[in-house]
Amino acid sequence: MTAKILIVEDEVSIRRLLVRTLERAGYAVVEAGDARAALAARAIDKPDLVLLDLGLPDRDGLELLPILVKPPGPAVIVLTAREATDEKVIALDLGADDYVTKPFDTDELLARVRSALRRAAKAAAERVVVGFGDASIDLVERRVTRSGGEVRLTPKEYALLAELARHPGRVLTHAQLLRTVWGPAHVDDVGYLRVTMRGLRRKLEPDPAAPVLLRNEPGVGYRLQGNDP
Amino acid sequence: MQAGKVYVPEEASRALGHFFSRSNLTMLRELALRRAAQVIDAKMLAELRAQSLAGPYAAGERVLVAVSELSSAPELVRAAKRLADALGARWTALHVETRRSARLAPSDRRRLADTLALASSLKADTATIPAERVTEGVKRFAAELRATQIVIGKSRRSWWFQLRYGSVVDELVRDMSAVAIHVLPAGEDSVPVEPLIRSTERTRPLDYARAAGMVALTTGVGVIVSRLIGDGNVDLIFLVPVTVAALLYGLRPGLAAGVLAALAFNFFFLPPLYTFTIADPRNAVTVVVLLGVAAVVSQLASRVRAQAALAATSARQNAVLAGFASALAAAPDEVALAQALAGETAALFDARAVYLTPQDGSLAILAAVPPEDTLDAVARAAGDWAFDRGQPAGRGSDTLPASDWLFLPVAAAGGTRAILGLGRDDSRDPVRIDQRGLLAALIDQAGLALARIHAEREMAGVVRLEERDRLRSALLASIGHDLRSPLTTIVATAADLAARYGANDPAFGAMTAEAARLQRFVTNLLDMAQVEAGALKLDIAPIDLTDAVASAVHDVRSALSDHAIVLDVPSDLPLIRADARLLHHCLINLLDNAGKFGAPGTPISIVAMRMPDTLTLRVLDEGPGLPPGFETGAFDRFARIEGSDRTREGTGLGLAIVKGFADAMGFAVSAANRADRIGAAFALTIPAALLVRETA
Repeated sequence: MTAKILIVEDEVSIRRLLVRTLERAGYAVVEAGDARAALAARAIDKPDLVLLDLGLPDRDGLELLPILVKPPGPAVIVLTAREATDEKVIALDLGADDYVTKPFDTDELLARVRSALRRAAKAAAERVVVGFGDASIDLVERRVTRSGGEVRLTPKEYALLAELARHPGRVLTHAQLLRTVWGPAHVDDVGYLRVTMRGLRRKLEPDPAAPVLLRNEPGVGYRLQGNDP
Repeated sequence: MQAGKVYVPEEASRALGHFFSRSNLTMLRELALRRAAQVIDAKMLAELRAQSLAGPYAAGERVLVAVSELSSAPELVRAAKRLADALGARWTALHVETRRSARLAPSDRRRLADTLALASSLKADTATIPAERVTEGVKRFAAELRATQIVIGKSRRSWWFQLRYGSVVDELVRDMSAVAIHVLPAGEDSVPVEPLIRSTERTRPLDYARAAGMVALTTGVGVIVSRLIGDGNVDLIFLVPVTVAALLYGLRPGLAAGVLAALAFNFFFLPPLYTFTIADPRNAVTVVVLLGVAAVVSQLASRVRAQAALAATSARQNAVLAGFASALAAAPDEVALAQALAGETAALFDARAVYLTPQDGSLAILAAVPPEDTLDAVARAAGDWAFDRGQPAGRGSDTLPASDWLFLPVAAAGGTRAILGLGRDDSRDPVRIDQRGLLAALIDQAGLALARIHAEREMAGVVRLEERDRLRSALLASIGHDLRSPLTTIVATAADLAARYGANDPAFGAMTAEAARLQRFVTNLLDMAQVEAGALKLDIAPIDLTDAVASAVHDVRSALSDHAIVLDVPSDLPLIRADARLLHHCLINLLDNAGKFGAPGTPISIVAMRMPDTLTLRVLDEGPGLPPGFETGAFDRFARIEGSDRTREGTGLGLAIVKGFADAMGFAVSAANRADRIGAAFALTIPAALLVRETA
């Protein structure tokens, strides 16, 4: 079944290019130029994924976002023209699956779309084994292996890796990770996260100084670069 | 339990562990105590006002220090300041004006004024109140203030002085049982206290004549009365002129009247009549009593008069101050304030007054009464001195007394903001020593008003600045958005064209690369605008340099495809405190710069190193290196290497942004040539304070 993607973007030239790019990649595409059309399309067309530009004429995209993602809603990738990290963090905390900064690289955008659709297709609970690089984590057995051998992680390292593996390829904000792994009282203790991440990388990255699996998004959060199944 | 009224055991223990910690409990207790103290204080004040209870009902500590003109008084003031600081209490320096105050030597007055000024500068409230005796004044004021601690000096006076006048300290201790009294030894009196009987009140010869006349009149009345009712009680009549004379004319006319009355009584009414002989010893007593009454009544009367005079002076001064205060409250700006102060002081002290404020590095006249626009060199020097030191200078002060002017600092909000100059043509001191207190009070008022005017102006400025900041942020955001949208279209179009007409056409790749570069310029311009505007908003959090470097390398990877990027960032470096986005842009610009100058194919190295108490991150290229002398200028805006054969594209903003962002985060930047080979090294140095201590 072809996945259906809703593009919410007020600039016609960009919207048209997005439509062409996505159609060429084999997706069914619906477009909307403002928030009202977007909500209508969500109800009628029931898209699997929404590309949402945050700068809309009739409504702030950040206001629209929680309505769009309300279950059983589509996954949302936010398009933002702003460099500032706070907007991205807010969008992610509001339930966006990912974000892409304009001007974006088309290949990168398609990769994000694929990754988001994969996550949407397979609920987190169904994911049992997630592979990344030469390592993998078994979320049921609670085991991490690398090149066939078992890797011993501290409880926090495991909890952090497991949380990232439940959403492979998706950026989880510092606050989201800290809340799940350390508890709501430690949402601001980014230092914990950094130190634990360091330990994980030492055990799992081919080159811990140049990490490619456990990726940092400056000022936003971390993502686990999973292997495409 | 289901109703939620009971703690589930696990929850209770968790609560115990998390909430009822020692520090939380201490904090709670402190909160509760503070709140209770506030409530009690407020209630008690209301109660006191309602019932006008007199007595020390201390809620918070209040320290009162009694100061005199003695040379040891400043020491006393400092002791009180220490005590107040230790107690966290408000404190007040009190001088009690007695009749003795009128007879102080000028040097003593100056010392007293200095002592009160010292107290004021140490954040004490100061007060001067008239009272018959020091003890009485201190007691009254301490009760009004509800002082809990009194600091007072005890002079080493001779025993006979104490016998005659009593000791202030002993009396206070006796009468103020609920107050802690701190007694400090004080030095000798610099001026021996003159006996009270030597009043400075002047008596005129006419007063004696009037007193004599009264006695004569009374004698006449006495003669008539004795004819009518016998002379048994005539002696009492003589009390009248004695009392009246003592009341109206003071001690000596009173005594004179007493002597005259005694003589007249003796002469006209005591047997043997019409002689000054006293036959009956009882009649001798009558004469002595008359003299005694004269002495006592005149004492009392002169005290009352002296008190009245002091009170009248205080009232006059208070009236002046009150009038001045309301004039100042209406002053909308400093010019109006200056006019008010100069006008008031000129009229009050019958002198010329100027008000000077700093303008362009020197003092300029803001207001003068009468209008005046020049000051001579000596006056200027005194003015500058007074302004710089925040102390009086010029005539009548210790500094540059040869000037015709006396300059006094007007202090507001913790610094000298202006000075007031008073001058006279007749080379007398512009302000009499006993008027200094009033002048100081006027200047204090002006200082307060000035602080208010400054605060109002600053407030208006802040509002304007905030408005400007808001506009600037909005503008930057919209420029960023407006520039990004067409770029997005260009990049996406290039990709679209490449997909449709052949991905291998280098034209599409160039288009994409140029668009990406344009995009970086836009980002840099916006960043630079933020640095220039001081509009950077920092979001400081612990950051792992490994993360920062890896992300930056990831982002420039495609732009720097000509170079290998070699990382040497140990994974055991301490975390640093920085803004992730700013650091990211710093690194991208440093890498971009290295890519610009490093020959194609040469590697770019990123080396992080732990120094004894700093951390440095260096970006090394293998380009031509920096020309001599360029090391310091490398981070200037639009810095380009002159005569360089490498006409590499760039705005010259990259390194300036690095410096701007690094400065904002508290990092140092430096540029140097590499020691190991030809090439440049740009370094970020992160100070120890921004390194996060190792955590488990």
